[in-house]
Amino acid sequence: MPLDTPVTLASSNVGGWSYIWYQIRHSPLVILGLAIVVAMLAIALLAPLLAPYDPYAVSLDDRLLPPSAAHWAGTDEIGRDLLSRIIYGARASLAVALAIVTIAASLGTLLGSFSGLAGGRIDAVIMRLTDTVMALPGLVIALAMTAALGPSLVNLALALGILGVPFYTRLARGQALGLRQMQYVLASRAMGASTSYVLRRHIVSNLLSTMVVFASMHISGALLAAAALSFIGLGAQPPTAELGALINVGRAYIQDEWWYSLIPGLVVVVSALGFNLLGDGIRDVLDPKSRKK
Amino acid sequence: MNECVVEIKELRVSFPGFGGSVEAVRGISLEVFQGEIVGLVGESGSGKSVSALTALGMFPLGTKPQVSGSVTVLGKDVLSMSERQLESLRGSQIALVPQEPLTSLNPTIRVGRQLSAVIRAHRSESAQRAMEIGTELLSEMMIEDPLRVMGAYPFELSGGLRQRVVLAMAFACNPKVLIADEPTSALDVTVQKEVLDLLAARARASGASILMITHDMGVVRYICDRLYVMLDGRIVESGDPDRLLSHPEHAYTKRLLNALPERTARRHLLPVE
Repeated sequence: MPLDTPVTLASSNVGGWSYIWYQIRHSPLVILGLAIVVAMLAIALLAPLLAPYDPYAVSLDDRLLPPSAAHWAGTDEIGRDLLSRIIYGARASLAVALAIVTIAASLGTLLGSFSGLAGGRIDAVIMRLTDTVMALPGLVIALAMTAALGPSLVNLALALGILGVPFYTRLARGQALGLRQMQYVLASRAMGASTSYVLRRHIVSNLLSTMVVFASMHISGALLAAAALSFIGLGAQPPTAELGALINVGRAYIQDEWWYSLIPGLVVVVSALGFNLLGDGIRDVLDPKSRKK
Repeated sequence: MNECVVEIKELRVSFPGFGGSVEAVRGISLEVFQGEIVGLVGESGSGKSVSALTALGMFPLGTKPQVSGSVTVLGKDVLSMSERQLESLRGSQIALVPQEPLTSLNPTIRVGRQLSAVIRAHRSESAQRAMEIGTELLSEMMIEDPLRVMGAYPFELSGGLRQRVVLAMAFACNPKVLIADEPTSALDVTVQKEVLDLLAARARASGASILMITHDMGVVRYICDRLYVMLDGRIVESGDPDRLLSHPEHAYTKRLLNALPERTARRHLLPVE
């Protein structure tokens, strides 16, 4: 072919959102997960609009009422509407879970990709630190940390977030080790790219999909861990409504007013399930290697 | 031939490893003059790529080799430069056309953005202007629909197109020296010729020199002005490619030439009836 013959671009942009939607549409479980997650997010975002009563309004005449048309989930020991408290509690629980995952994923991704790219001694030190933190029993250490920092939802999120960092660090570091060998890293260094450019544009951007998959799986675990710590009194403090704390208070009345603990418990279980199902779906879409035929 | 743009003297590179170090380059000296296309041939593991990377002041990531000798590029001693000085030298004065065009572009970033990043790293241009320059560069590389290529992801392009994009990146800041590390070995023969023609034409037009690393004797004969033959980290023969290829002196060069399929195979093939 002579030199002056131009070359045309043959392919067009395929894939993208339509492909993702195609993948989701064909899996009923993922749709169920997506529906649950969307519903939970809507409840959390629209809590003030959805809650029929003020979750903190005390009415001592209406203590421990069973579910009825006026109070769909009954009332608590000082007459606050339980449905409103569950709606606000779901909001708090979800916010904490998202905060935990955000802290763990962002710090872990940065630390891991830096560690993998730098290699040598820096890598060895970061990895040994990671091993150390992973060797500790997570919930127990979170318990100790929140106890030391003072029990509150913010400290709970910090403690569980930091304890989640090593898992992301390891994952990101493993990927970074492979990515730094890519030709385009060499090519871009040879064009004068700085280490921070390589880190941002080549390493982090290429391991994002793995991190998103892992994070989506992590959310349900974070939700359960946050509820567990609140249940033993290290998270939300009264009068704040939080699902774990609601279950804990309801425990005292479980013989007669069983719905008090049951309903917030079901909300925790169902939303954890929803995030898990959605996480599976996201993995199937973003990670072609694990995709089933 | 006037000015010497790349001068490597007595370069030794060894990589420490378990059970002793591996000496990849064992005292090579070579020169590239301005406007010259110099070939560096040798088999896999002969140290070609490592030697060429040292001209950019680079080593494979995660390795810390011991280096002695001197590498002078455009009058500057590369081995004693700081990483920051090297970053501004790479891409603007001396550029690399990497080994595999198919994997030399990041699959998650659109071509336009990768190309304009190179331009913006070395020239103070606005993002928009850099995209325009990039589009012009692509059309200079004989790409018909440069705007569409700029907006495409690398995996949407054919190998030949991707290699043109890589060439455009290498030429983006009009470097004086190009290190081409087997730029065509992953391409089929017709595309190879187009890419080589583009590379040579553009280099001749801008007066840039090329250090071409290859194991393909056809490429050498087609494009190179001068030739170095490497074996086990040493340069065993050098000179004019036509003379070297028709009258090789060193035993290894002869072996290398005899290994070419066209030379040996021709005798055994039967004519097609």
